[in-house]
Amino acid sequence: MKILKFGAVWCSDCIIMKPRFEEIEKEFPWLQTEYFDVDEHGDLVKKYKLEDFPAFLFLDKNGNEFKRFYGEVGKKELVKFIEENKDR
Amino acid sequence: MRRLFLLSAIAILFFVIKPVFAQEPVTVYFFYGQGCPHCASEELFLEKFEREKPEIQVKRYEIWFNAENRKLLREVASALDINTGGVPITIINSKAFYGYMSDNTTGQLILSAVEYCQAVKCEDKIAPIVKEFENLAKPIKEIPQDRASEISNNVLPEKIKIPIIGEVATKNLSLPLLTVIIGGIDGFNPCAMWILLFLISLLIGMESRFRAWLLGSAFILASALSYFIFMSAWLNVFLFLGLVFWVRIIIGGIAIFAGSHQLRKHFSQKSGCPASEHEKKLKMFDKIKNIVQTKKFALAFGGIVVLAFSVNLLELMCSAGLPAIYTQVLAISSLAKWQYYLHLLFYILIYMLDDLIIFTIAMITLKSVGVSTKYGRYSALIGGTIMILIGILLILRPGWLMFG
Repeated sequence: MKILKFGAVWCSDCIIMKPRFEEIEKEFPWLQTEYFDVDEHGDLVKKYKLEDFPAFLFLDKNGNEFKRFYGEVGKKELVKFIEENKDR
Repeated sequence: MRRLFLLSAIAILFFVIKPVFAQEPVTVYFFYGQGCPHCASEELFLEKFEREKPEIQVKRYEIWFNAENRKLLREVASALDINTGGVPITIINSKAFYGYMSDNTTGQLILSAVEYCQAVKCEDKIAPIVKEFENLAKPIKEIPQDRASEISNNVLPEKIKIPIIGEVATKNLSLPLLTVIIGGIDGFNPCAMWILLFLISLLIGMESRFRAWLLGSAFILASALSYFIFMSAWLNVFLFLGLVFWVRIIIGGIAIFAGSHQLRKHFSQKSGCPASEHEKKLKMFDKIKNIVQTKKFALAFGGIVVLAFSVNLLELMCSAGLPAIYTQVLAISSLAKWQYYLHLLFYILIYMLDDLIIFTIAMITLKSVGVSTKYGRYSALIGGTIMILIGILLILRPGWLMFG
């Protein structure tokens, strides 16, 4: 499983989610994540048709998206989802 | 014997002269608003007062609906150099009494002023002004029955039912409580919050902690000052126009409109930052970054202060609803000038409290904390509901919003 994180320096929810995700990444060192600044990766924003930020796209082993979260998401909710889907 | 006679003469003179002083006519000028609960309470006191002291003449002037009486009050206020913010205003000699708390407080003050005037035979300075206006502004001797019942309908009931909370004794609802509620909700307004979050995200990465604390504090203090100036301006506009019936109706209408807009925002806004805002916010972020990273501290400090003022002015359209409604409520409440500003300061303190807490936590933990759009949506829901409620009250039951 891999998580694509889309955020922007100008987005307050992205600022709030940043330390929250850092904590999750520390708790799950095996977790693969990649961050994209939406102002530098407009092509990916278009490709994934993103309208709000931050956006968290969950990709399976084959690179297919199976879930996405928008905006502020609670740490508990994220951790639960990651644990439930770690084998995908 | 001669001494006894002299003493008796003095005693007789004392008892005779005293009633003469007591019967000295005094005019009480009572400026009131139809539907104002404090005015209704004072009216009852004055009626009783008139019955007990027939030498007292009470001249009544309704000023919310009667433009001529309003004009008279302005003339009187300018002659006596007194404030005309709210009602009731009672003038005896050249002394003005604002508001009406109870028969034992304001009532006693009025009584003492009348007795003093009877004792010293004070000159009625308003009489010549009133005489000029007498043909235009007709004093109402008695409140007609239908209007009296209308006034009593507008008086705040002893208890009101609030959904979820239940029955609340209205005597417990006060202007400071209203200040905490409106100021608190306004504080969660996301309009100015995101700027603070940008700033914090830049400040926590700074090498000099001292510089970071100073710049952040300067931003919060300058924001508070600009908000105070802006709200004082609103207040003064409303104090100037506050006696006009239509101003209250217009503000009530604006409150309902702004409240509905907030509710629409709550139900339509999705979670997160919309991509459509990216240009505007990126521009602002770059501006803040340039200011914070300016090497010369004085320039960075000045830049932060200017930024705080400009941001708060630019975001006025976004956050004007609650401050405008609050200042209108203040303006229709009968308070002394210093009390108006004290309430404004209290509002600003409550308004800035969340900013202060977020900034302090972020600077101590070196992590960005803040109020996300999720909380912004809830603030829009609560704020919108309160705006609509106050708007309806301003139009239909202004008496419920009058304090002091």
